Amino acid sequence: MIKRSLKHGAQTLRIASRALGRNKMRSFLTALGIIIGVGAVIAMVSIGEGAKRGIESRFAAMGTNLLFVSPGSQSQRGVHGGWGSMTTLKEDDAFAIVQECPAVMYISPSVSARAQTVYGNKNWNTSISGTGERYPEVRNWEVEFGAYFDEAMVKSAAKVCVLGADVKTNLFEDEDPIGKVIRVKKIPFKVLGVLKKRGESGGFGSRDDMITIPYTTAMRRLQGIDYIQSIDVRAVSSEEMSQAVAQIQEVLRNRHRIAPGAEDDFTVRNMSEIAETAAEATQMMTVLLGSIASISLLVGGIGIMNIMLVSVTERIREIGLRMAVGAREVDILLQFLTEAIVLSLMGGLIGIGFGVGASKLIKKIKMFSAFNTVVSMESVLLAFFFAAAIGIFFGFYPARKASRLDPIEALRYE
Amino acid sequence: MPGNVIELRNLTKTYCIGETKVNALRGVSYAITGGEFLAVMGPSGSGKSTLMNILGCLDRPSSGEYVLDGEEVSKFDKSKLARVRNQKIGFVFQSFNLLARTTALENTELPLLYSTENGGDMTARAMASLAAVGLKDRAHHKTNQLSGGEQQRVAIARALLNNPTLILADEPTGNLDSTTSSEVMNIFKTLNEEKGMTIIMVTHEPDIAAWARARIYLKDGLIVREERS
Repeated sequence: MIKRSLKHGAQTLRIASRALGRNKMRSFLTALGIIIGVGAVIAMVSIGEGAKRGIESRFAAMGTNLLFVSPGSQSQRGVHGGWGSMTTLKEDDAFAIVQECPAVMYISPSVSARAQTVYGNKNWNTSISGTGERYPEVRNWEVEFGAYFDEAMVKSAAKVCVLGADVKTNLFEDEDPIGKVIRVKKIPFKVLGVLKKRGESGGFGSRDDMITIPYTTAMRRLQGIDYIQSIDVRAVSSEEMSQAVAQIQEVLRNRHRIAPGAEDDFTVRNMSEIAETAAEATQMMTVLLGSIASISLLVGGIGIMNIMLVSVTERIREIGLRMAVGAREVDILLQFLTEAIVLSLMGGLIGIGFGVGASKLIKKIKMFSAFNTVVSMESVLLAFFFAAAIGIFFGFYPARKASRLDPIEALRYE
Repeated sequence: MPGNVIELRNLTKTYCIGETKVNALRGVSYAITGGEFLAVMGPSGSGKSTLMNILGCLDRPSSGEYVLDGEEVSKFDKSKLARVRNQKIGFVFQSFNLLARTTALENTELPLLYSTENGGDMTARAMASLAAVGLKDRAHHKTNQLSGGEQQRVAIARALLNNPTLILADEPTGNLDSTTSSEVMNIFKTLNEEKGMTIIMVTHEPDIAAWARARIYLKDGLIVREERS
């Protein structure tokens, strides 16, 4: 029984592929809709997936036991202040945190700006991060050449800096930057070291396009402010994150003399929470891109139905003949259904190649360098089965129409 | 001589076209023995197409009985009729009805695709069938590379493939010139005389009908005359 139905299936497949082979150009054009649809779904989802992985790896590199303290509660009577929009966070708050909170290992106060950096006849606009001397430990970011500035340099607001890998390349090319002097807002800074390259990450530009200087220097010499914008905190371990948050809150509430029951004038944010939010956002993007691309798959399916209907009308006499030599209704139904499915599966297979190729190409093209594409097995399988389902769905109506023809009329059809 | 291959008992067929009823057949009774070569003649509207459709199991009579090869097929459902057409009947049409852009061999194989029996080597059987109509060397030519006469011979090879009880030819020479008509009729004659195939042919050309052993004339849904040569 199984052997017989297998033989029957093979025969149906053979009839269908012969019929398709008789009209190769049209078969290809029909499948093109599915090829483009499947290709688009895979390419679009690969962009979303790449962005997601990029964000995940960026957060993973920083470690999960990282906290950010920023001034200004997230909602103050319905008004949301941006990071650093308030001036209540001071240097001494940062010192108090590291001294009084046992769950906190290191802190690094942060003051940032954007400025033009100049070396010789080259210049480069980049972001200037004012940090504490523990920044490499807090951010899990090693110095590759030279050294980071020390506590004494921070205390004295020394005019020193450490370069991100991109800035080093843009200002110095192959020259050794250690000990050279660059100018930021006309102030000379001595280069102490270069940070290790972290690489690009999905949609967020390069993390290596920055320089770090002591935060005291940033406050006093660049910005002329007496507050800090935020504090990066590394907890002792990821298990003690919640203790660390509680301790920081207690210390800061005391120092800022906030009455019990009143809202904090600062926010402590957990790195893993931020990571989750970001992952959700990219997931949304993936779904959105995928759905838009799916529309083209749907259009491809309608194309198949259209061509199959034309094909049925064109082949009415052939259908009549097949019935005359013994084809049953179900044979005709299966033949046309199989043709539609073969078309969409062929389209699906070529489309997968097309989509994978396209996502590789997107990675290569300079204009899209921010997108790091990742083709996931799920998206390939999903697109392929979706294509098969479209073949069945849109192939059924024309196939049924063909199988319901009256053989006598079909044979006489002009 | 084998017994009756076909027995028709009081066959009628009534079509409803809108409100009016058309009696295409009004009680046809006839018996055909194995090895017969019968021509069905009559003016258009006489009911010969309807009779052919019923004989070919493409249509069912409104009343009466049709016994083909010992089976009462007039009450069969659609898929059983399809099996009967596949196994017991070979059709030859006026307009050949070959698949375009397809080789003679593949055209000949067509009935085997819908056959449930395990027919062994499809290609070998189709080749044997083509050899029987003298087209073995044309097997791999496509339909459009064949002349009209050759196309009709491919159609006959296709009809022969499942070794049917009955060959039904509907105006088989209607689209052919007189020389090729004779070629085609010669094939029918040989099949009938040498292999004892039962052949029923509809035609309105007397000189084509003359090839048959017997002729029946239809008029207004009834057999009005029968002659034998």
